[in-house]
Amino acid sequence: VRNAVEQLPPDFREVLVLREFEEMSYKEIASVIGVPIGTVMSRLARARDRLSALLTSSSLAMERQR
Amino acid sequence: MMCDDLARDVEAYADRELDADSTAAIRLHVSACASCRQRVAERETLGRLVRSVPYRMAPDRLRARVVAQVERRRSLSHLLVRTAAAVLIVTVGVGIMFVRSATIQSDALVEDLVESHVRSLLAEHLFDVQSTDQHTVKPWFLGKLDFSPPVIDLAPVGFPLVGGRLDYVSGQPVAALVFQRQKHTINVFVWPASNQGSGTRERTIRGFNVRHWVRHSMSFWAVSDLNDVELNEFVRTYQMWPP
Repeated sequence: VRNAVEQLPPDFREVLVLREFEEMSYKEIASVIGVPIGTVMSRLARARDRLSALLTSSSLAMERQR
Repeated sequence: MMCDDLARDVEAYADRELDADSTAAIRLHVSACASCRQRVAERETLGRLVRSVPYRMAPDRLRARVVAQVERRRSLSHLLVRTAAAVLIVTVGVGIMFVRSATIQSDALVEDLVESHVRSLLAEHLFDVQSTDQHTVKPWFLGKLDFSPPVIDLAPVGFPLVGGRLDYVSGQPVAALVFQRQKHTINVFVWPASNQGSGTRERTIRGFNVRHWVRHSMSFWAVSDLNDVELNEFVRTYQMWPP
């Protein structure tokens, strides 16, 4: 998972980190990085899509079994 | 609520960014739809996985150095922007002196408004605040603008308010209120009027209809791809609201 996160382009990793670890709202992220909220939302969605693709289906399956 | 709506909102739902109504609608849908339930579960699993990655904050000293550098760079770019703006103001000023025509200035403004309208539709940036409640939308502008735009909802006559956002027109921040008529979006740009206009001005640019009026010292510009008849009805109702 860590590798996958590190492989994300910086723009995508930035919004993901601010959301998941710093627990900021979309609005806060938008004002911190200086882009419209719509951009935050689309970057987050694309970051997660890319992350799901990068992660093997097995790691998702493992987590689901927990 | 349909599966398509869920696909669009699943991120905001899992991030708890949706308003109470939409959240309730998704819960209801998810309880009845197995494939959407799985979609939400996968999204939540992904969130847990990401948060399980060890996350270390930079040490205080490094953090402070990075922040200081960013601030320095930011103030430099502010300076550049201001200089550019000053040059632009001088250029525009000289231009206006030579041309001495208010029409051209207003043409540029109308172009600007149509651009903003198109941009709002293209860049998935229709709202900063998505709500059909005028009492949610109006307070949202507090502290973001140095004026308080009047916000109304015309849902009873078929033009529901769907949200608002902060926009920039001719270099100044303005309020943009978003209304819907079936599949058509109407952006109403609002800012304090510099003069008292009379009547409604009509323009069409690249297929977009533009209507302008001044009321209670506020300048209103409605932009939409909606047809003339319905947009005029919208404007008439807007001007006389509440009935």
